Amino acid sequence: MAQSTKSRAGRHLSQIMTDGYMELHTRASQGAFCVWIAINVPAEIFAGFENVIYAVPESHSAMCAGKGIGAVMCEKAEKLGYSMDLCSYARIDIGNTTDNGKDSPTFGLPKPDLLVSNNNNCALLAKWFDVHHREWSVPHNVMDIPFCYTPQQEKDHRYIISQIKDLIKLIERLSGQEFDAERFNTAVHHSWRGLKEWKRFLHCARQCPSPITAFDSFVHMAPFLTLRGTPVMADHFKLLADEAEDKSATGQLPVPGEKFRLFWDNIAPWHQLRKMSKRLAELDANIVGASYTSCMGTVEGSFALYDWDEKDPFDYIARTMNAYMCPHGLELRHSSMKEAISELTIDGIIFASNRSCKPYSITQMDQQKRISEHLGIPATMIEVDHADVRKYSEANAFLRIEALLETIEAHRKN
Amino acid sequence: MDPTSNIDLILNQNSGGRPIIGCFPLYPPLELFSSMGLYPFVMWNLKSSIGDLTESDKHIQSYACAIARELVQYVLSGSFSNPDGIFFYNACDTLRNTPEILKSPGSASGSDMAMLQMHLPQVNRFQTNADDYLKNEIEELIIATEKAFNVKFDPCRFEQTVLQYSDLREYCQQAETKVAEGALSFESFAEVVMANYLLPPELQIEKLIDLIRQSKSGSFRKSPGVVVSGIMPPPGKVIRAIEASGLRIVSNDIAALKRSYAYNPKPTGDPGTYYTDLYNNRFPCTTLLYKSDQRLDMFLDLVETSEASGVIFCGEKYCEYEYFEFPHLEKRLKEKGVAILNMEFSIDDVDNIGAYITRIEAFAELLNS
Repeated sequence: MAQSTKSRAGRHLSQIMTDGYMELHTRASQGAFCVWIAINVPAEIFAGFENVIYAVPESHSAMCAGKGIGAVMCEKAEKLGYSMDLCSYARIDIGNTTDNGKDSPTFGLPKPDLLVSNNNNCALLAKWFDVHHREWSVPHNVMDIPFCYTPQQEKDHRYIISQIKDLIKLIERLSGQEFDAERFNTAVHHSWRGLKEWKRFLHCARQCPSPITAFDSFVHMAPFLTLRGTPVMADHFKLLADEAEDKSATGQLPVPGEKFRLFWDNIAPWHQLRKMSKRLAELDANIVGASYTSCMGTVEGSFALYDWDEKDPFDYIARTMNAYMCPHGLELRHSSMKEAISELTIDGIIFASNRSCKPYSITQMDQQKRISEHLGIPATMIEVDHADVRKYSEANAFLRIEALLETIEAHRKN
Repeated sequence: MDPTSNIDLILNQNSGGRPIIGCFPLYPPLELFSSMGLYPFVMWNLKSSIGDLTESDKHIQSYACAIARELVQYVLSGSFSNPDGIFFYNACDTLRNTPEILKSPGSASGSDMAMLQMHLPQVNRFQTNADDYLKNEIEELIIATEKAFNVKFDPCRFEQTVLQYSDLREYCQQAETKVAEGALSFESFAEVVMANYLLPPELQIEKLIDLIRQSKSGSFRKSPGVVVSGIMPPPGKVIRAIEASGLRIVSNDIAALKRSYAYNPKPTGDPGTYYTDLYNNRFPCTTLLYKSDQRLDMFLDLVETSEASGVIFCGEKYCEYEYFEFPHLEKRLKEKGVAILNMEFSIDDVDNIGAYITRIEAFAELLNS
């Protein structure tokens, strides 16, 4: 259940996120070169420069949705002619730029000097960033990361590294700053340390009952997006993992009567975190894991942390650009989920069919069938939009979730 | 009868026993497959053949575009003979997730259908040179095709086929010019080009020559010109309504039409060189991320050179590639005094076009006034 008072890690998160956005605005106003990136652009690159900062519109949109202002900001974009069928993150971001972040909890984002998107989570990010590219005449670099039906191939890995190096040259040219490989290397090590702590945190969910919920992971993933490559992120994840282990040791449980252990597949329903976690807890159900947050630091076909030998940072960031679920096909996703079902002792799966994220959602119907038929795990599909509350019906969603819980009960009796 | 209403019959009549390869839209390397003795066809424009979407609805959500849903229905319904193979590339977020659905265990499509794939580089060409990557993809595709179908690649045959496709594109452009002049209807032009996607190149050329012969001669009344833009041409009834309203379709920016035939690469027997040229220089499409900057300029240029006074956007419902662009294009066109009509077509709209006709008539009145 969502706690009424924030834990130490919760308070720390609020502080570092506030500080992070403050610093972003301050440095931008002082002339730092500002890059807007898609979430799986390896942000450690920017740490290789003396005065390059980065902002993540997807993360900002998620925050807006979480604060309950997603729909308002979507409407601003819709008034400009952007279809309601488009991704709600994109609509929030475009809406936000119409009035310089008037309604944003972070006063929006500083205007970019460069846009860097990629197409493996979704190619639409490139289209979305093109909107800004055209409107503001800001350069836009699209990183092309081949979709994986099998684990990343060597030719693709080489291709990605060449693009990363070209991106560095582009930033050098545009910003007039020189790339420092040592600073970059240090940043990659911070991320690597942070991701190990993140995994330690997630592994706490293996305990039954679990001391954490997937909602915790949704909330706390933000530093990986906006503070990537910093010791602040790594330290936060350490604090988070320590706290979870402490809760585990002292029996502080978010769902004390945990009867149903569920797994979530899709982006977090940002506008529903508190409500959904509370209502699930009342049903003794705990979403203990989510593909969305389990995939951080992993590669195709497994949620295990990708084991870096700590040698070549370029090799590592190119390899892990295939983290997240969307860059992989059905088979690889199935392999990861199968592993999670076993490790987390999952009773049932909620597939959130997300109108705003087709790359995540298309294949879910077949995935659901496979999970139910081949693994014998009950699953349901609910309709969600990750950031536009207007496309979500709590009543419909819970009708299906409650039916799932009944099915799990019936399974147990048989 | 719609020419695609019996896909099996058309494919079997014309394939001459060649292995049939169903290609995912939008821009598959048809010349390559054709030169290797295969019978490629592009799996779009399937609506009139598939009937309903019952099988597709078991596999993909209703918020996928009609093209993807119809393609899934076509392959998985069991109502049609399966192609011998399927080719796909990273055309869009929805289509990249579809091949594994078609091959899923227990699906009607079975497991013996060859699956061929390539990755089309989408990186900005000004930023990273992806030519070698693409050439390697083509080489690997040739090897995979040879292996899957026990065929051999031959550079001479490839060059001959390329010349044939070059003629084909030329004829498409000639026919398009006739449409712009008012000597041919856009409806018949679009119908022939779309039906051609099921036919071998030699027959496609015949159909286009026949079409061009049917064009009227003499001078024509210069009614207001419009450019039609979208992924697919609008339904026949809608095109009829546009033309009946007195509007002349002076050019198009349709993925299945102009964006497919507008650029003719230099013929060569080297597929790597040929496809690097074709993909790098083809008419910009919303789905080709690396063509983004050229797209805007070329689209505006197209409107200007065709002297169109209006643009009709035919949105493919749920095609986000298109929808992200409309507001900016609309703004730029309005700055130039070009009138806009936005229409959106989803899976069932072909049968319910009353509202479209009213809007088209109002748009025509605006342009005529």
